[in-house]
Amino acid sequence: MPDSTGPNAPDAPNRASSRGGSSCSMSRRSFLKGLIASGALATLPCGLLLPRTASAAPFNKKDFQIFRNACPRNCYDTCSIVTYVRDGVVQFVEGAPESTFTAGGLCVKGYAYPRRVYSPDRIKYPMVQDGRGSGNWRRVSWDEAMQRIASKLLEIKEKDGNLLGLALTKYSGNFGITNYGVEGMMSSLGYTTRLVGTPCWPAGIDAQNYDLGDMWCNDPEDMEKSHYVIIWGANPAWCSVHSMKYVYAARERGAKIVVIDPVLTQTSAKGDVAWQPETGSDGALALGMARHVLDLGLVDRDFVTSNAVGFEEFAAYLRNNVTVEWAAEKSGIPADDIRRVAEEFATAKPATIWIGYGMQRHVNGGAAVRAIDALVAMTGNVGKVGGGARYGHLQTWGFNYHAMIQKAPAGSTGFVGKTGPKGEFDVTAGSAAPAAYTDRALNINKTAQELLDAQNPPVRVLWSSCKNPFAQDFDRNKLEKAFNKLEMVVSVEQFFTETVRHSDIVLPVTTLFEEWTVNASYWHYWVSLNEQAIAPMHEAKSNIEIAALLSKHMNRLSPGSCTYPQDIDTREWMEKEFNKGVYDLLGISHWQELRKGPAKARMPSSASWSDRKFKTPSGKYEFRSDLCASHGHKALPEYKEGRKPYAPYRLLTPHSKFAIHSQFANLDWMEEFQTEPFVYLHPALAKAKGIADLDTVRVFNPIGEVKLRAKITETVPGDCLLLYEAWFRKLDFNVQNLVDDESADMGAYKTGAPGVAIHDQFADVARA
Amino acid sequence: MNHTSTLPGAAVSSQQGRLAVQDGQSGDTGDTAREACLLRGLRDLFAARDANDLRAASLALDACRVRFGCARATRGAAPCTTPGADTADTPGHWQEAEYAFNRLFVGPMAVPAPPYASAWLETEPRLMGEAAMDMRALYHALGRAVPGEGTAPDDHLSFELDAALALLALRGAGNRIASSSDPAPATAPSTPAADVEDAWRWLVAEHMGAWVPRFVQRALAEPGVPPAIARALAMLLCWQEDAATACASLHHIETAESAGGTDAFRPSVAPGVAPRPGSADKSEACGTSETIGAPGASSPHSTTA
Ligand code: SF4
Repeated sequence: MPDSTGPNAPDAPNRASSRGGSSCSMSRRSFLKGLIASGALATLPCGLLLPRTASAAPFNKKDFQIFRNACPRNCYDTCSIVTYVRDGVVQFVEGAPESTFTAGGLCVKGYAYPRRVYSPDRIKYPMVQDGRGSGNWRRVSWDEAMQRIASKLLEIKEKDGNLLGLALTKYSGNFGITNYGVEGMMSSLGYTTRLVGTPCWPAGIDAQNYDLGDMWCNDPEDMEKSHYVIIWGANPAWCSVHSMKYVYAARERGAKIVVIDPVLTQTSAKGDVAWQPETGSDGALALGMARHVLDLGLVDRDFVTSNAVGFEEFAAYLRNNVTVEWAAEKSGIPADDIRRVAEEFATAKPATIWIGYGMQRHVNGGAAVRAIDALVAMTGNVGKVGGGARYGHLQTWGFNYHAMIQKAPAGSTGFVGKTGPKGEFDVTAGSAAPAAYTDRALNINKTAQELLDAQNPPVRVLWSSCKNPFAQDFDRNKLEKAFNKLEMVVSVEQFFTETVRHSDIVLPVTTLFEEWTVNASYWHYWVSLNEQAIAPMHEAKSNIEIAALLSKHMNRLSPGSCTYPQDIDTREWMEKEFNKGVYDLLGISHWQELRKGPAKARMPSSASWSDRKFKTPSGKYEFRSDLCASHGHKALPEYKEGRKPYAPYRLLTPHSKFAIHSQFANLDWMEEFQTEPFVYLHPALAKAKGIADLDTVRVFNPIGEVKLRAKITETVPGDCLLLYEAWFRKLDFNVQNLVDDESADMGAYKTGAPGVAIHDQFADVARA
Repeated sequence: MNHTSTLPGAAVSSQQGRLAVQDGQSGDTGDTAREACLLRGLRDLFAARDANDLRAASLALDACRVRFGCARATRGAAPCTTPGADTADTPGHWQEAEYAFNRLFVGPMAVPAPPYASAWLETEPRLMGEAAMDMRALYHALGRAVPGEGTAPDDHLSFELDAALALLALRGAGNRIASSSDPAPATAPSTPAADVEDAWRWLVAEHMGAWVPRFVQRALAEPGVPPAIARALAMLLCWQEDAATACASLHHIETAESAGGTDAFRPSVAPGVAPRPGSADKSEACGTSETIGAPGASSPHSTTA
């Protein structure tokens, strides 16, 4: 879009100066008082402006209203936010000082939140597109939008005899607990199709469940007590900035910081040792270290005999199949370096490994996490303050899921057969008595293929919320074909994403400032209230309000067709998420106490598994997991080969500092830092391909291609092409043009579908 | 359209500032009615929710022009845009106009010309900025508020036009008040009529002058702007420019006589300064059509500047 004079044009700013800025603010204009006094106002010919009721709040410039909010994105840090409101407008936000984790500061993305709420780009009204992709949009009332959707749902239910033709795709766009009301809306309509699983971290979740019986990490705040910290496949200097203070504190107390990442990241730069192993060789590296620990006799005998099963078998595997030299060859890390770090790690107590999500996005990712768990366990670091194999936790997520747990209408029919959990947050998994019918599960990590393949009935209507499938689902070209098959696409959004472009109806949804909810973290142990700080802008509604309205229209057209309550108050629904368990855990007696600031879970220890009571079938740490074997994997944390390359260079699509997946990069403040995407490549590769810095290049593979400029840097390995994933509002850039839907090894056990091998991708590059 | 402008030869001296307004009363029916008609039409057009709204507002605007003629043409200046030139008045025609209107101003895609003052006046474009609060204060002073205050940005163009319409009516009333009493002393800090004049001047010249021209220019730069919307944009710009220019002429006198009399207004719009950068679009928007209405005084400023 030509933008030379638009509001976003470089010259657009500062016209404000011509109006005198704040020194000439309207509040000081004398004519305002005079107008009120003139008595001539009763007969004004206003057609839109309503008479103003006298009770409107007086305007006092010096006063802010202060609200509690929480950053609900899929970010380790889940910051507790303090929001300053004046005139009903969010003026600025800051980190809550009460949380020792947030510690009064946000990240650069969080500070940009006011830019999001008040972005001129925000989707303001429910709108209908006449012809998907046509760009011909009409504004409709909420009632008309809901009427259309409800009619369509009743039509497909009539045609198919069930509602399996309706599918939901939702993930981490808004983790506020009441937003599970979207799943609740589906349940309240009947048995539907769900895209289940998680693209994020499932292989590691399963691995930790096999080894320990749950995914449960130490409090990140106790990392400062570590004497040795290995950050393995995570980049907290960008993606968990609040955790870095604990890393630094540990180092100040003498700990060594080792960062393992194929890319020389900002975190690597801050470590004492930075290893750049061959991508996907993490399992071999961990096993090589384990072998050396075994050889040196540094195994914690007490732990492996009293608190674990299968260690001797694991030791035998190491002796027979693993050498440090082999690990060095696989990983590219010199054998002596492996030996030195292994020995230091085993002798520094406590020592910890932060297992990042990046390193498990591989066909051998779950196996690699198991190998790292084993290294931490055999050195006696599980259950120790300052120790632990840190991956994540759901200890603070024990809410009622009132919004989520809804009953199917009487007489509903659905899928017949066995189904697993519908993702890592599915609290209902395994708890309910077997029902005659269930939802139909499709693998979220193969969304495109699953939508194409689903039959009897096919997926006819797709509802997308808290997610931007076109930016996040794999194999974009295939996804486009899959969308073409759909009869109706409804997206619930704040911005005009590629997914909205491919929708028939878009519904504007509230931001964090415009709804009540509560937020927990999967990393730290603080829980934050999220108050409604301002009225929803434009015509935005929260997900649960949308569900209630849909229910109203469903029931109007066909009484009894939807069980979702039709009149809801978002604050009441937030309250209904709390229970005694949550209160006790947080040491509060009422949610209102959270208005004074976030509360931290009162755990018996900052260490997970401090009582060594593991939740595995044996009750012990399982070096040998028969459960894992029964799921088709190895019983032991054995090495698993990576994916065979299908193009000359490895393609990495990790997170940038200025976005969380497809969110934030579209805000103007982020665009200042990140104006366009680049492919980063090593000077040697650039030279071989005749590519100069900032040349426009094509990155391509059998899936598709993207065109963008190149940046030459020694921070990426010589055989890698690195592109940060992001959604840019003004650019047609999508890393999913290059990423296929190859599964990771694990994930189906706890999340319902295997993960996806996001970093086992390959591509070629050429000058464009 | 400014009252003084319709009074050829009205010698608006420093003593006669109010008188000029007073005198304007006698001749204001035509111009005020024209302006009100125009403002109503523009307000409704930019508030349109669908094709029917667009059609109704557009036809109303065209009717205004047929009835009252073009203010510029009346003065002998180049007329502002063409009268109703939509060749088709079919549902399909207005449906296309609706799509285009939404692409320009509504969404759901990011729009090139957001119809909110804050999007243009904030240092970094956003909604609900200082401009919205300014407008809110003005509405409150008028005893009004936008529907759903805090939800709908106060500085949406159609609300601003509604406020202009209100002030236009008050100016008429204020003129009558002024005429019924002795001319106010030049240094009087505030009289109802003076407050209305100040508010009007602030709104049309200072506030809208700072964003409406750019808004119009930006929208017209888009490809495929339907004629009905292009006409409305042109009329909006002509109205704003003329109103601002007229105010500036008047204001020039007042500030000369009572500098510092009110902190409410700075002479940010000087006579003769077009509040809009770039004049190419101006001629495109306002100068391409046949003459409408009777020729009038050649320049509204000549006698006052
Ligand atoms: S993105 Fe992460 S670090 Fe930034 S404000 Fe949100 S939770 Fe905090």
